[in-house]
Amino acid sequence: MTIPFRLANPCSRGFQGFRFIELRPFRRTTVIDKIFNPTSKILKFTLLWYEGVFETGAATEGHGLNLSRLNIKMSMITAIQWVPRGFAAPFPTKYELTEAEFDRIAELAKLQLDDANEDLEDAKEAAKNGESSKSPPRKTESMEKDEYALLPVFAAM
Amino acid sequence: MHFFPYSPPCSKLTSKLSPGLDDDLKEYHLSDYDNDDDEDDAGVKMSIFGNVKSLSYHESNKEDPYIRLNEEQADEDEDAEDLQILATDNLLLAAKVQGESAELVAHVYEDSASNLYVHHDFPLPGMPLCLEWLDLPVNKQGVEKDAAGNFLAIGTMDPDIEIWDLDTVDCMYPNAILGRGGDVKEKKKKKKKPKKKNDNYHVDAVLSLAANRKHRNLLASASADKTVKLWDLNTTTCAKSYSYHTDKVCSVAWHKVEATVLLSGSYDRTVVAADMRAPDAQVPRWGVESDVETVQWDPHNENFFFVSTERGIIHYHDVRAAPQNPTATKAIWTLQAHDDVLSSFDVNPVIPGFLATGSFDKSIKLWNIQPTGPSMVVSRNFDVGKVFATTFAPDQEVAFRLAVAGSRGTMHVWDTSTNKAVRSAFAGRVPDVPVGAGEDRLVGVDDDSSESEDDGGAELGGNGGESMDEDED
Repeated sequence: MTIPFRLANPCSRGFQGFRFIELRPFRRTTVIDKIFNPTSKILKFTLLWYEGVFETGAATEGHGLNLSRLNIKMSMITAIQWVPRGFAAPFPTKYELTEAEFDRIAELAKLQLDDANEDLEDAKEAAKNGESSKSPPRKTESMEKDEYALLPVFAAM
Repeated sequence: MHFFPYSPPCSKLTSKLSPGLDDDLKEYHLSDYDNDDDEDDAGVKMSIFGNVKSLSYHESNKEDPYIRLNEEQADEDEDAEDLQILATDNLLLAAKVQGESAELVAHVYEDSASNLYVHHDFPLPGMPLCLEWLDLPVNKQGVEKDAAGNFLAIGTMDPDIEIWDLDTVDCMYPNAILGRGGDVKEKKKKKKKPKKKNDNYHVDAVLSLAANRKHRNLLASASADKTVKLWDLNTTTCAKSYSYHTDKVCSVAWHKVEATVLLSGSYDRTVVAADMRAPDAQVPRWGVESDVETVQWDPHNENFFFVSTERGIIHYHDVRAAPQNPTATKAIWTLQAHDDVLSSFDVNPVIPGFLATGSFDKSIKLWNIQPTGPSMVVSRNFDVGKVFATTFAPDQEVAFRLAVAGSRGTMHVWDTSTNKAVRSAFAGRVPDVPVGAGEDRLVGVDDDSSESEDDGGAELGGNGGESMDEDED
């Protein structure tokens, strides 16, 4: 698959230096191209393919790291389902937040947070022990933050 | 003459600082114009809500004389009218991925008006892979456990199965979670343990779901963790786990009559029809030439089932004629329906022998299955991208409506009865075409709403906001 598209500098508004680049077949997080642009202060520019989204990572002088999403929408419908006639309530109820419901949600949210923290810690530990290269690709979101850290553009910082 | 009712406390100070100020202008305190009057008033406490006491509060809007009840009531009525679902409407649910966020969009399909519109939506935790409608209320307060319900089970890349109430709008959390995320105690206990295959919850993506229409509290799930699990929706716990497949299990379907028999297809290239009451029994097993994509029972003949595969082939089997071993499998017929992955197919529940297939080759084909075998009726490309879903409407009145969706994020309802080839192939079973309907009536969602949604997307600085059309070739 090759996708020609215009790439812009996410850090400066007036930037006009579009470039056409080709994307090679890729899976998961892949660094596709690096561009050094002498007219701006960008030091490194990386395009990432990340779980269905294109992202750019740019390291700039004095501005630290900028990540922005390219406006390439990967929209798709993965599944559909009919509901037979007569089962849906004629007048749907509006969701109301009761105290019991709030407690339930708070508990759920807390668990999710705990989970994310836990995964993050695991990822950190794995990175410390230098195991990240050996372990198979992982799927949880927070672990992918770890993969980001391995990319050259981040290493440059 | 003084323009100000009082002299600001700082005026003396500023006049000292600017001694050359004209006396005539002095009285206007122009030099103090930018000064905050209270600046030097250290003794006065500053409070944002200094005047709060003068506001009056009312426990509810009804007590407030300034809120007119009639108007509010009218607004509510209007809202309710907008959301009203008629007895002749079908809900059509689409699991949509946009960028990295995923949502479930509930559409209303109004057949008589050729209208398909978004009713409501809610966010999903991960990339959705399968949907299964449930007619049983799950964790709904004030409702009998075996009353009729309108619920949806959703399998995603996450191992947890979520169950949502479709009759409630603006909801942010599911009614129940089947899996590790739903069991608080279990979760706390197992904290640091690695995620291993087990009997209580899935540990990998859920690829297929099947609700049992006879035993309404039973839901079967197939997962990438190679297990099939049986859930009790009354307790929202896993009743039993089955591991007779050796690779990812990607499709499950309950037998319509023998309600305890579950058909399952797997990437291990076999299909199993197992009695869920006997988890340890030897299971009948059929083999196919490549990875299974979808399995489905023939709704018009309970002894037969269909299997679609990665290589675009459909196999038709007799459940009573299981082979000695999977390599000795002999199908009643096989059909090379597409050249690419046969991602979805559906057998019309009302019209016998009417089959629809959708493939990654972007085409949708309709087939007429006769005693001699299937023959193609028509092949169409509706520009939905790679086809991920093709489903016939479930009711008699809308039996010829086929919903199709795919990798372009669009969904259409195709009235196949308005197609010439379909009309001649299924002559006698096709209702009269309504006056004014042209050839191939196709109903899609109005573009207006989707465009306004798109505007919310993140933009790149400068001219980078210009979007690019996805080009798949």
